[in-house]
Amino acid sequence: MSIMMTAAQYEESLRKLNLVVYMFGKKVENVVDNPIIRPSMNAVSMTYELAHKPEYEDIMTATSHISGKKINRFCHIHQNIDDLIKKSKMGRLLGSQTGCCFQRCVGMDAINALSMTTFDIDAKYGTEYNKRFLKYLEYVQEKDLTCDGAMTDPKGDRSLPPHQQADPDLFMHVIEERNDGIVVRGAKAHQTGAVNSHEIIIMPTISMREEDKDYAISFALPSDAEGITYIIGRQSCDTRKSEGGNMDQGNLFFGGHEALVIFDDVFVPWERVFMYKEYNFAGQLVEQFASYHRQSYACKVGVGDVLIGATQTIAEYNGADRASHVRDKIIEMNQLNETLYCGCIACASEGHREPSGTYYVNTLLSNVHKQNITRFPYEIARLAQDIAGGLMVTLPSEKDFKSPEIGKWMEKYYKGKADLPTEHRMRILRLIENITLGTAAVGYLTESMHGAGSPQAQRIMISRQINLKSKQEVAKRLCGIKEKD
Amino acid sequence: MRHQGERLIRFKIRIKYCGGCNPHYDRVKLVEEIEKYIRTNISGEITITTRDESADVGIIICGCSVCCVDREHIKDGTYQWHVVGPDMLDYRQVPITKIAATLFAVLMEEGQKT
Repeated sequence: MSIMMTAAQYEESLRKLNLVVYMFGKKVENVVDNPIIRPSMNAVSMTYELAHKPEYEDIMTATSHISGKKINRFCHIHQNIDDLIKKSKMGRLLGSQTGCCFQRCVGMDAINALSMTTFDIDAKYGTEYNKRFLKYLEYVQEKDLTCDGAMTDPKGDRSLPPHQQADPDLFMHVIEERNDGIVVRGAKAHQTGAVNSHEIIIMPTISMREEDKDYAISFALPSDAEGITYIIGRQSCDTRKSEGGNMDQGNLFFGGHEALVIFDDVFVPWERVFMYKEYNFAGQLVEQFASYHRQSYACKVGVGDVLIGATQTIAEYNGADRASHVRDKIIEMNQLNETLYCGCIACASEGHREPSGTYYVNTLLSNVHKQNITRFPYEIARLAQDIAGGLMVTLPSEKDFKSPEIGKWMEKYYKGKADLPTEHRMRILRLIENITLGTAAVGYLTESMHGAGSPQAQRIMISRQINLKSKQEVAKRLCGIKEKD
Repeated sequence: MRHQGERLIRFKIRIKYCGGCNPHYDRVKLVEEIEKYIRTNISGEITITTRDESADVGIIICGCSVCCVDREHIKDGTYQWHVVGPDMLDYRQVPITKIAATLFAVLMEEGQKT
């Protein structure tokens, strides 16, 4: 039995939300149809649409371990290694179908991390967080909801812990405890897909000590709960989407968005609280969520597929595709992209079962994978721009191309191979521009750098997990070094 | 598969696609070609289903040579399965342009035996 929403049902469900969203200083009255936000909703819609297609269902769907029903994989708790591998494959698939961030992975990573941490807190303290969480998860699965997994606090002065910040609200914290729940205040920054989500799941952003226990909280709320306000982040070239044409935005259908989410004294009922002042588990939740989310950067392999396809196409349009150095650069782009794929498959294949029953990625390999993600997309983008040529950034607008006075000159002087339309050349250049320095570069480049933790966060995790001693012992043994005990 | 003399009168095929993470060819188009070839060459009631239900024969459609979906739990033994991949039929090399015809010949041969 399937309980999955269709893409149309998903869109309709968003229209019923009463979100408070601001952009360019004004309240957005119709979020779903706003031309700047709409492409990001289209990208999330693909996670619903593909789940209903027989040719994708093997990856896009799973069987709920709670209900036994067929569900969207984004609502699933990984039950085995195969689930972890399919998660990586799903990321590549959706990235390659949309050419951008499809936003729904962060909620999947949040529920999987919470399935483990709530279990472990209960095991230590005899609490009932896991029972609460599983009831909440069942609701998410039954309704096929999109969840925003919200971790990153504004953080203020990075040298100070939460309780020493000049402004206590720079980390999300509890300000009041009631019989029926808690009241929280704070904000979460960089929230990908926030206004396309039905739910928002809050997690602490760093390891904490006892002095920070008011900040060690995790909970879930409907995205339109009273007191929540969204402020949409700007993206390079974002207003091209509202110019009315269909060429200059590069990707005509899909995009992403990020938002600053404000929690201005928001009430959370106890049944939706999954961590409350268990400060010694904040670090574990951060680490588990981050490791899953670092695996999720499988999506960039899919976006890389699109960029490689676009680059080969412009090489052909320019008549440069047979040049040996161009061929070699295309090969290098593929080598880099498939190396990224190796990482996200490896960390899934080397995953393991946790006490809760949830399968967890190999954290060393997921951090290595994400570290590569902070680098390789930049190199792939550089090679794409190398092959595309400077026209990508000097090309006049669609309106000039369609101008009755000057359009003929663009048609004439921007012609590549004689048998191909100039417009095709312009469109593919705009797509490369979109991914490497336009709106989609937010996801493909800077998000690759800082999303799921900045590069140094992965290096710290890598340094903690490598077994240097055993490597030294082997090296010394092979060259005949004998040390006294 | 049932026969009336030499002619098939009822034939149900179950299609099981892989998830399509990085397919090397258009899987849906190939299935359309297989269906068209079968419908062109035999008369009778041909049913193609992608649901998990009983059939006369199953075809696993793999987007790449990994064939990740060719698993025992899918091939539960109640009917014959064939595996199609890029330039491959049942793990033997067959050009993609000839897969529909080759598969049809295999199905006919199996039909003669039942």
